[in-house]
Amino acid sequence: MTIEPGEFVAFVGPSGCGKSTLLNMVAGLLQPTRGTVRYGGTPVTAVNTRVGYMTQMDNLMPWRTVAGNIALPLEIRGVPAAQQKPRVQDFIRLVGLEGFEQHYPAELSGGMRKRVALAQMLVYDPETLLMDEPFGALDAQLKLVLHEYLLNLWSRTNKTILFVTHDLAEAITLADRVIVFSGRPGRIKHIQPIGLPRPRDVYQVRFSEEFRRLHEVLWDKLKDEILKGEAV
Amino acid sequence: MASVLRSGGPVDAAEYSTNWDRAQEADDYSEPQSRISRRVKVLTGQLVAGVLMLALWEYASGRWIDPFFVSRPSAIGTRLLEWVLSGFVWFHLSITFQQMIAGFLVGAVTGAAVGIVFGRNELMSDIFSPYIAAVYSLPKIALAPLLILWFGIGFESKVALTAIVVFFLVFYNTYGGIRDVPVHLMNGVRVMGATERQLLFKVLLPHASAWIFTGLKVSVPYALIGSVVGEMISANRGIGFVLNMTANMFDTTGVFTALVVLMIVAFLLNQLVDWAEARVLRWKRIG
Repeated sequence: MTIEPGEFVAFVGPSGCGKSTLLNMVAGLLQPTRGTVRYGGTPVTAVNTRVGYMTQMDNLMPWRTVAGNIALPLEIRGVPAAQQKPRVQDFIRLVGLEGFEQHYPAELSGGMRKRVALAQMLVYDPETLLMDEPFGALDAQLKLVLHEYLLNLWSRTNKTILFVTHDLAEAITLADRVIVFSGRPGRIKHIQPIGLPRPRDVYQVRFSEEFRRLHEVLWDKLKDEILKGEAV
Repeated sequence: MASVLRSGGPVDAAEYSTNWDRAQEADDYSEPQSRISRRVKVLTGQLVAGVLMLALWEYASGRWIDPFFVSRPSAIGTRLLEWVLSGFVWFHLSITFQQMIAGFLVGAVTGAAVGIVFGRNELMSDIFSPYIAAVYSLPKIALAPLLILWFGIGFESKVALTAIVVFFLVFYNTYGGIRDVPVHLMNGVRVMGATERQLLFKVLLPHASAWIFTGLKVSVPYALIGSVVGEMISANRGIGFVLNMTANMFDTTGVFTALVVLMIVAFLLNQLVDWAEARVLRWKRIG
């Protein structure tokens, strides 16, 4: 399958079907045993530094403050110190964490840590975002807030997003296409274009008729796989 | 958008939790009277207990027990004053300290370096771990005669003994700390474009720092032991030598005075380590 630049694709499937493995392969952290993963037309053979990666375990360094964590990718990429500061400040403002610059991750709530992780991923402006159940551990309301935030950002920046989730509603709310994986061995079972008009209101979209229909179609495809997985 | 994010309930909860320290302080201030009086009680109790013990010792010596064996606090105090004023104690202490510091540095640096290499190289650590474990299980003090044979009775043999003792403590802690780095943290910075060097300095070492620090911390008293024991086995200077020499001359007062000096030194070293730990690992204390 091919993912177009600027597209928002969500992957759903039973646990252990290889959704996370796929993202790891796109990031170049794992090599496929068969076949190839191409990024921008060239096979991914080393770590892919054109992407940003966010997992359920946020990649925040507990010994760095909020500002220090957001500055980390800039330090790694050799951005001069003088340029780092204003950029970090911009992104702290972007995720609404002014006043928390000098806090350590352990001092923040789960939702705030997610926002720091988001800023850390965005600060170096990667063209593609790999998100592996990034909001998995958050409560439902906070999830919606971050969905709205993510869609807002995506529509402004034209980034490509690969989003792994086990939450069908999350997938439908966000994505242009939802890919359903089958259980072991993980294969693509179904590709569902999501025709819901944009911009989407993350709070309202789930009550629409079309949303319900899509949910039913996807659940139908996914149900067998999950039951199969449970039976083993 | 920002305002929406800031208005969420959990954010308030976090603000509350960051104020926890202040809330705690406020709690403390609500009953200042009882806190201060408790502190006074403890301090008075400590002082009384100490004076009583010393008084009992002083009284018993010469009445119930032969002072030849237990000396007496007044004699020890006088001797200590003599040693301090004559510079005797400073001379021997500085020898012990120099050995201890040199051995500590050599052991800590090599232990941390080997710990990092082994922590990053699983094959190598699998091959060598039984040998390291074998040498580790040896009581290190048992190496002292060999080291004296190799390095002589002077400075170097004590440095070597101290270094070996410290090496293992720092090595195992560093190794553990490097192996403990979560894969997702490493992968995260790799995707950001980190080189191996950046990975080491921005992720592995900071993560392992708490472990390494634990290794250093437990090493401090052991470094003192290594240095003093080395001196006791064979030397002509240092506190361990003084301890041995006075005992050989049946000078119990001298033995006790040397012990008091060691006790004070060890206590101050531990205080220093605690203070340094609180400063270095600020992020660890939170949470």
